[in-house]
Amino acid sequence: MHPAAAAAPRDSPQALGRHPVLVVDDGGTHASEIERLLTAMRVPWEACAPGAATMEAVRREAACLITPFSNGKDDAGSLIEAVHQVAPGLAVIVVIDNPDVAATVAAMRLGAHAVIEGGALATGLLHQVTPLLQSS
Amino acid sequence: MTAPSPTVFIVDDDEAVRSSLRMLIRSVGLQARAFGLATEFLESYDPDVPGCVVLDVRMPGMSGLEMQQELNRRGATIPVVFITGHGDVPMAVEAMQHGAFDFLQKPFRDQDLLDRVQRALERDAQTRTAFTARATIRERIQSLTPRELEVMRLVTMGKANKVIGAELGVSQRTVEIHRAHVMEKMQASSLAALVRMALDAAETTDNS
Repeated sequence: MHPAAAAAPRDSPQALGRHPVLVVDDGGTHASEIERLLTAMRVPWEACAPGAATMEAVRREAACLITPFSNGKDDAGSLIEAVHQVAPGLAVIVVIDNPDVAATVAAMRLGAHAVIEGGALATGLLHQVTPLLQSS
Repeated sequence: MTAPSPTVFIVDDDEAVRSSLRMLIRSVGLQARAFGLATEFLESYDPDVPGCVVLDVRMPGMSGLEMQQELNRRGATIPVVFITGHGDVPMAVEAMQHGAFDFLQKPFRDQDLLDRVQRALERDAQTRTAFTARATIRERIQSLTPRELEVMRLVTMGKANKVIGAELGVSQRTVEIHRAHVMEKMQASSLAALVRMALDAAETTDNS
């Protein structure tokens, strides 16, 4: 587990959801911003390094997986496919900087649950993650 | 009876957009009908007419997304291609989450829209073919007697005639006769085909 996960109030009786939100932490600014916002939302979360650690994490129960992408749909597609082989139905939320509609639709067609703009993380997380937590 | 030709329904509050899209779609030999309001389209919507919808997201009154949700509430399967003048990512996400076939940002190339419309029409045709096949299976199932239905259920569970006979309290020969009737009425060429029909029927029931 990422050391930052210790900051998440997952034992709080007011925390949302039973299962943690997984955040693919690539060391970028989006990952740390996502973690900060989830903590502020009192959402239990776990950080995981990209690659094998992510695949290991999705084998356990999770509310959803949030993954930042700096460069578009191809990487997102292979990750979503790999995640869904291990955890079919797990919602994968992709964070992209300045996505256009075509990139958004492409990611959704590849199986993303949602695309959030990197510049609108707060509203995007609130809008997309909260319903998933309520059903987890 | 011949199935009606597919129609592309254009719903956009901008008269100029409606006219140009109608002309574009007719130019490739497809039928097109245009509506200026979502409510106008919904009032005339006939689920038996094959086609697809080209739908503007932002309209006065009922928005494109609200119209899509109303179609979903009605159980409509007609594919919806959204068009928008704004690069609104959250809106595209919401539309796709609610089952939009595609989402296109204006200005778009004519061919891009035509390609999407063609694919949407193909999807609609596939959906209708599958629906018709399932309706046929349901009709065949309804033609079975209660005992034949019971035999079909047990056969498709993989049970042998002897076991079925014991469960139903009838002879193996009687089971064989019922089984033959089931295969004939269901027009099943093999046990595998019968199982597929049973699964299709169960899926339809679950989804209804």
